[in-house]
Amino acid sequence: MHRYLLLMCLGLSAVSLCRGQAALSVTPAYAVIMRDAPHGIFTLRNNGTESVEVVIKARFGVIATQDSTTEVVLDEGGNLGDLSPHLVFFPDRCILAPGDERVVRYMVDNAARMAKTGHITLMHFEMQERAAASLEQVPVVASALSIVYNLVAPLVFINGESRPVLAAKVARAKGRELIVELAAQNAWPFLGGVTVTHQGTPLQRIETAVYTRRQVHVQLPDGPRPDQITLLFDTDYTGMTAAVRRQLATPPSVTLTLLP
Amino acid sequence: MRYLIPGLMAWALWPAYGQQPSEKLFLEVPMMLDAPGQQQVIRTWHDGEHFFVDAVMLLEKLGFNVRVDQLKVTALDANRLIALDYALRQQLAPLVQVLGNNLLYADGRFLLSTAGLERVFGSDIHFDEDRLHLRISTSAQLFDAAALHHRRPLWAEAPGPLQFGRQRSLWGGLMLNWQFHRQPGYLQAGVNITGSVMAGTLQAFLGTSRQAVTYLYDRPQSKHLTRLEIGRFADGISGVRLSNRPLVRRQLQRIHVIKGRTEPHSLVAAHVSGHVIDQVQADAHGWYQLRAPLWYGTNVVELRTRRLGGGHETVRRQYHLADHALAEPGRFYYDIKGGRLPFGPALDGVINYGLANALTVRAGAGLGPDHTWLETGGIWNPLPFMSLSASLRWPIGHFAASVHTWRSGLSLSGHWYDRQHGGSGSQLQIAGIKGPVSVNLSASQYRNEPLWQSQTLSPSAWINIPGGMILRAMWHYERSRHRDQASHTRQHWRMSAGMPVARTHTFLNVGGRGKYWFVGLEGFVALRGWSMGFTANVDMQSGLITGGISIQADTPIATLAMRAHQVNAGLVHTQSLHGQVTVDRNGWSLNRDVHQESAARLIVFRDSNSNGRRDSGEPLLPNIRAQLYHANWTRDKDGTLHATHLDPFNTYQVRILEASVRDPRLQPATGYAFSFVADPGKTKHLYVPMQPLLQVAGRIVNPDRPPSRLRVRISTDAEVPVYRDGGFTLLLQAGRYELSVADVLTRKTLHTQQVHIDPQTRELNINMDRSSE
Repeated sequence: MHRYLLLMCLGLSAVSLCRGQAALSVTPAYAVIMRDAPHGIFTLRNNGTESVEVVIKARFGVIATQDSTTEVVLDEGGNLGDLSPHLVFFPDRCILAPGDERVVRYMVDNAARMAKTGHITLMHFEMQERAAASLEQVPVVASALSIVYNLVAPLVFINGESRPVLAAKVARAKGRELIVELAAQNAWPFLGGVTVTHQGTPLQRIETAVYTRRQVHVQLPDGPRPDQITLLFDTDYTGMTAAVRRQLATPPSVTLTLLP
Repeated sequence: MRYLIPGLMAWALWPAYGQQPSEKLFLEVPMMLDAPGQQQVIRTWHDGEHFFVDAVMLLEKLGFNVRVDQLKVTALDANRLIALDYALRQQLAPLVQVLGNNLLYADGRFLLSTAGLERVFGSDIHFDEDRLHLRISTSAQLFDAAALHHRRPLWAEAPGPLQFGRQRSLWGGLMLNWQFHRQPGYLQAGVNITGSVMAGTLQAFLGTSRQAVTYLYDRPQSKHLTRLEIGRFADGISGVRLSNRPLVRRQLQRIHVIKGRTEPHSLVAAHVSGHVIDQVQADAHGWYQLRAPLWYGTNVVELRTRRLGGGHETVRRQYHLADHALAEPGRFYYDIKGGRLPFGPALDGVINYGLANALTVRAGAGLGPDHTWLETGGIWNPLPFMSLSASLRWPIGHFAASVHTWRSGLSLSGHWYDRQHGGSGSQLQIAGIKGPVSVNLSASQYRNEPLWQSQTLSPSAWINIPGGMILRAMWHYERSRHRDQASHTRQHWRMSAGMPVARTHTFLNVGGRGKYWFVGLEGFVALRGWSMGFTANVDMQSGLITGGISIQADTPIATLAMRAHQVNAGLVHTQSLHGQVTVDRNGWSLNRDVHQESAARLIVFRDSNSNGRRDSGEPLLPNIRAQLYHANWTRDKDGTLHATHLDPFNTYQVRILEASVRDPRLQPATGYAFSFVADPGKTKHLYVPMQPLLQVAGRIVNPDRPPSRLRVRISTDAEVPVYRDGGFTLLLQAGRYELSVADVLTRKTLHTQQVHIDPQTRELNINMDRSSE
C-alpha cells in the first residue's frame, strides 16, 4: 500500500536555483458522475511562470482517514468498485505553457457491464517543470533535477440508485471537541453535509466525503454536556451540480450516545 | 506543511541590498502583467517586505531593446532611452533620478522594486499588491503600448484552416424566395432566385414590375477582379459587369481605436456579437484604449466596465457606422458595366478610392443613348457614429447629400438633393429613446417650382409605464400646393392608452381628422405563430363605424397575411403570401424564410472506420456544441446545428467546444477550429468526422541531447513535443508513417525512422544511438 500526501508530495528533493514557479490548478477538485451521463472533463491551467509537463493517471484509491490522518490511500477502496479499468481519458500527458489551459476529457466505457455500485478512481496530475530548451543543458542533469507535484482529484461513478448507509462512532473526545468517525457501510459513497443536532437543535454543519471512513471534528456548545447527538445528512456539497445532488440519496440519520 | 512547499521553492539570493551585503531569503512570486488584451506572467521576488520585478524581462516585454553591459541596463525603443546603473543604483535616463535601494542586483538578475517601478514609469504601470498584478496603461506615455508582446489572438480573430472552401458545381442547388401581394386593382408577384449553377451563381428577380437575370462568376480572394457578371441588370442594361469590390457585404473595413475614461484601474472589455474582442485595464487616471474591428454596416460595440475589486458591471453601447461605400485606405474599387439599353449602347463606370481611414472619394462616368454624365463625390466618417456623403453629377446638375448618425438611444438620418431641372427635396428622420420615453420625428419637403410643392411633418411619442401600460400620441401634418391651385392642408392626430393582458394588447384610441374626431379600440392577439389584429373607430359626429381586421399565419412552409379594412368607400381587402423553396441534391424543401441566400448545417458524426465519409451506421453526435462567429446556430431535432441567412461568399469561423465531445477517444478530423465559405443558393453541409484515433506512447531512447530540445515530426505534417523523459504521444490513424526527430534549437533533423501503426500498436521506440544500428 502506498501512502501519498493529500495534495502534494515531493518526488525529488534536489533543488537547484529555480528559474520559475510551478502552479497548476485542476478544476473541478472532485467529480461525481452518474449512469445517465458517464462522462465529464477536468480543466488544467498553468498559473505559473514556467512551462510544465503534466502526466495524468487514474488509480484506484480513496481519500480516507487512517490513524487519525486524512490522506490518499491507493489500491484500496473499501466496498467501492475500481473505476480505473473502465475509464477512458484523453490526453494522458500534456505540456502547458504559462497561462495555458487544457481540457482532459473522460468517459466510463461499458458502464452497463459494471456492478451496480459506487466506483471510484483518483485522477493523478503529476506536474513537472519544463525548462526552456537551451544549448547549455546537459541531458542527464536536465531530466534529473526537478520537483514533481501531485494533484489528486477523486472521480466517483454512481452506477445505479445511490443508497449510502453510514455508521458513526466517537473516536476521541477532547474537552468540548469530539472526533467522530463516519464509516461507509455499503458500496455507495457519501458526499454532502453532516448536521449535528441535539434535541432537534442544530449545533454545527460539516461538509465531508466518506468513501470508506472519515473523521470529522464536532464542537459541542458551551453549557451542560449533551448526552446524545444526532447526525443528519444532506447532499448539499460545495461544487456539486444540482442535477447530481438531486440523484444522490441521503443516508439515514445516526444517533450517538455520549459518555459523560 | 502549509509553509513547506513555499519554503522549498524559495531560493537564496546573495543580495547587494543596502550598503552592506546581507543574506536574505527571496520567495519567487508569479505576478500577472496585465497588458492590453492579454495577461502575461512575470517573475518577481518578495523579500518579506518589498516586491522586486525582473527589470530586464519587464523592459523586454514593454517593447524595449535591452542591452546589459556589466552592471548597467540600457533599454531603448523608438522614442526613448532608459538606463539603469546597478553599480551606482540610479536611473540615468531620461532624467537623472536616484533610485537608491529600489535597484538590486543579485545572482545575475537585475531587479527593480515596485516602488522604483512607479518612479520610472509613473502612472503608466500600476502595482496592485492585493492581487499581485502589474497593470499597464493602454495610453502609456513612457513606453509604446502597441509594442507590447503579441497577444494570443482570440478564436474569433484567428480563422482556423479553411476546411470547407467555395464549392462550385454544374448544379449545386437554389433558393427561391417567392411572394404575392394583392390589393384592389393591383397584383404584385415576384420570385427572387439565388442558385449555385455552372460553377458560379445565378441571381434573378422576376417580378410583375421588373426583371433581372444575371450569372455571376465570383473570385472572392482576388484583388483585381472579384466578379464577372453577365445578363440583364436591374437598371435595364443587358451586358457585362466587372468589379473588384468585395463580394461579401459584411467585410472588415478597418480597426477602430476606442478611447475613453472610466474609474482608475477598471477592467474594460469590448464585446461584439457576444464575443470579447479586446480587453484592457484603465490607467491610474482612468484612461483606456480598445481596438475594435469595424465591419461594413452598423457595428454595435458593447463596452463592459468592471471596477477594480469587482462590483457591478456597467454596460455601454457604442454604435459605429462603416458605410458600404467606404473603401479600405489605399484601395481602389472599380465597377464597370457595359451593354445595351433598348435605345442603344450604354457604358457606366465608377471608381472609389480609400483616401484615409474614414474618407473615400468617388468618381464616375456614364455614356448612353439618353444619358451622359460625370460624377464626383465622397463619403466621410467624421465621427464613429456619423456618416456623411455627397455627390455631384454633371451636366444634369444633380447634387445629393446625406447624413446618418446612430448613437445609443438616438438615430438621425437626413437626405437632401437638388436637380437643376428636377426640383429639390429633403427628408429628415429622427428617433430617440430615453428610459421609458421614445420619440420619433419624420419630416420631408419636395419642391418642383413652379409645378408643385409639399411639406409633411409627423411627430410621435411612446411612453412605457411600469406595469405594461403604454401611452402613445401622434400628429401628422401635410401641406401641398399645385400650380394654379390654392394650397391644401390636412392634419390628423391620435392618442392611445394600451394595456397587455396575457397574449393580447389592447389600446383605447381617441383621435381627430380636421374638425372631426373619433374614439375606438385597437387590439392584437398572438398565439403559436398566429396573430390577429383589429381596429374599430366610431366617428362621433356621424356615428359611422369604421375598422378593420388583420390576420397573419406563420406556417412551416409560408407566411400568410390578410387584411380587411372598412373605409368610407367600402371594404378594402389585401392579401400577401411569401415563402421559400430550397432545391439541392438532397431534394427540396419548403419553409417560410424569406430573403435567404445561403445557409449551413454542421453535421458531426462518429466516423467509426475513419474514412472521412458518413457511412450507414455511423451515428450523429447530437450533443456537440460549437461556436459560429458572426452568425448563430439553432439545433435541429436530429441534433445537427443549422445556421440560416448567411452572407454568400463570406468566410465563417467555427469552433467545436472540446469539452462537449464526450468520448475522449474521438478527435475531429477537421480540427477543433476551422472556417468555411458560405456558398450562394444552397445549404452547405459541413461534415465533421469524429474519428477514433490510435494513441501510441512513443519514447526516444539514447538521446544525445536533452529531450526537451527535441520534437517528433510525423511525415512532415505535424509535430509533437518530446517530454523530459524522452516520451511523446502520437494520435494517428493506422498506417505507415515516417517519423523524424528534430532539434528545436538547431532545426536539424537528427533521426528518421519508418513505422507502421496498426490497431494493436500501443508503444514504439526511436533509438537515436547510431552505434546500435
